[in-house]
Amino acid sequence: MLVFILKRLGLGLITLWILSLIVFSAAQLLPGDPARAILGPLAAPSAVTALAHQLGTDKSVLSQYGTWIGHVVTGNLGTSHQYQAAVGPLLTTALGNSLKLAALAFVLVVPLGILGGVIAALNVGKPLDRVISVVGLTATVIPEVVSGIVLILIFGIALNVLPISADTPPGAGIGTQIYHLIMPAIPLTLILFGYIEQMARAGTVEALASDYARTATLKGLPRGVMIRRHVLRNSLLPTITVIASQIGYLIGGLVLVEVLFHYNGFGQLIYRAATSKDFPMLEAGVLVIGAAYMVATLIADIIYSLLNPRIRYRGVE
Amino acid sequence: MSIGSVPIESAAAVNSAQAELRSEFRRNLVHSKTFRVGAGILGFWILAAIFGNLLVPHDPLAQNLVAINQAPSGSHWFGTDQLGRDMFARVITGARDILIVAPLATLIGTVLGTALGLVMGYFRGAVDEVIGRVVEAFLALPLVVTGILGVTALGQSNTTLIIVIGIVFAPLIARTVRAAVLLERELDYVSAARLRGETSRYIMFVEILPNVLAPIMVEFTVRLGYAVFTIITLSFLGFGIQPPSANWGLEISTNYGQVTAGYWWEVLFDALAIATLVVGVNMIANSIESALDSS
Repeated sequence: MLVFILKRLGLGLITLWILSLIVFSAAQLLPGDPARAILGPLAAPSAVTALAHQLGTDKSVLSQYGTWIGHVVTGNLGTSHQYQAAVGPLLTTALGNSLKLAALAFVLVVPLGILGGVIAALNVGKPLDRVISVVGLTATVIPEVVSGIVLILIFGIALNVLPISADTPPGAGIGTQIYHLIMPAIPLTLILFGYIEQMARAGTVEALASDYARTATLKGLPRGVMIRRHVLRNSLLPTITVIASQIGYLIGGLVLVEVLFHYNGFGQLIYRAATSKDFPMLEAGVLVIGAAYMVATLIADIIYSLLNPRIRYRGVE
Repeated sequence: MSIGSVPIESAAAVNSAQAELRSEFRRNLVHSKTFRVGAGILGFWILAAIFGNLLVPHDPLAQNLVAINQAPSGSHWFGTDQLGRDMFARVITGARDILIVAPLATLIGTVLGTALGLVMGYFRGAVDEVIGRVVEAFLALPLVVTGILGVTALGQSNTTLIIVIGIVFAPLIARTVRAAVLLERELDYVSAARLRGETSRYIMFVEILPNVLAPIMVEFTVRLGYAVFTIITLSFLGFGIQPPSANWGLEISTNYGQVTAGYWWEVLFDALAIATLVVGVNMIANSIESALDSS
């Protein structure tokens, strides 16, 4: 098990390193001089040269990468061009905000998705199964822009029951925060629902058809007990992996939802960094996303192997 | 397994079996209600993108500053926007750029991904490991974030959008193709080709490729849906298709500030149009997948 985790961690680090190369090359492709971009077209050339020297953008590409990656490894994520402040604390605050939104979306979608999938599986081939599947598939493919706008028009404008801005004044209680975050959480919930529901359905259908489920039924176990004790436990295994693999999507979805609902989260930060060409911020943000994805998939694999002893020692595929 | 132990079917028999499968697939597809509805929706938007300009009562780009922010009425079915442009005309013609960018991006991704997947699955070993790591790095980023990064670095244009989405799709498609190739390469016809002394390139592209076309086709249609999704999202964020051409995602972002003033028609019809297009494309993808499964 330890070997498995270490091996996975090693591979994850290599992937992160490749990611850092990709991100750094993207920054190098950007036409124009970062110092000039920050100071604007009217600044004196001497000021631009001085800032370029201060930013280190006058050095060779290789030494810039070396400096940058050296800082990142030691926990120094650089200085944001746009805010003229350290990237680290800005990212941490934004991450904290996004985590609240993501947590609310997960709290809503995980039970709903599993419930939907299990109900569909218990009614395989019946109209209820079809309805749940069609709803799930449709919700999954509709962009957050669409669901977000429709929600804003209905609940924010026409009925005027929910706030259309997710930001709360500092020091607002948890109740107020949830009240402001419900509408932004729903588009994320809709997209994730289909994935989780489909996995839970497939897992349950498979478990219901298994030998151990048949044995349980034949030995006279009531259907409810059989489903709880034998079917659910096995059917939720693949679902856990799907939930963790959706972390990547979730961060992408956060960009849109946070911009649409004016929420100061991680997605908004990435968006602002890109629109103002604030590359230190963008690079750090992208690396954090990559790291978050690695950690989430690693945790999913560990949970999966703990729950399923059959694959515990098989190691990396 | 040695070749001698199995009867080698005549080429004609194999060909006719494949033709049989193909026609069964076509039959399944055409009889699928999901496919017909999806194709109908997609067909409608393609026709609207090509001929919409001629059919709509107003020019989608014509501004009319004495009739701004008009509610839907007999003369402006979907109302007008803040520049007095007819929303109905803009919604009807708003799919044009999406329908050019999405298929081209998906095509580039499919071609690149198929080539990568064939190489990874066929050679395995070090090649597979190295490419696999790069693929993994791309997969760690959400599509929208890679899109933002790519467009920021390369500058905004439809061409950039096509290239960026194509490059992001390539590793995803490569993964699917690789898995299919890993299964195929163990089969007798591949060993036979190798014993005949065929080159690796010949075996990959002439022998294996035709047999992994089914998953590639499914990938293409599924990715097409994602491409539409991504283009709309990036356009809304201002990283996609640029003004003045009418485009649903962009339109929502420009008119979004107007909803608090009660001008709901300036975003709602665009949102609904997006929903129909993505659902249509995904219906086609789903029906192709199930038609392949059952044939």
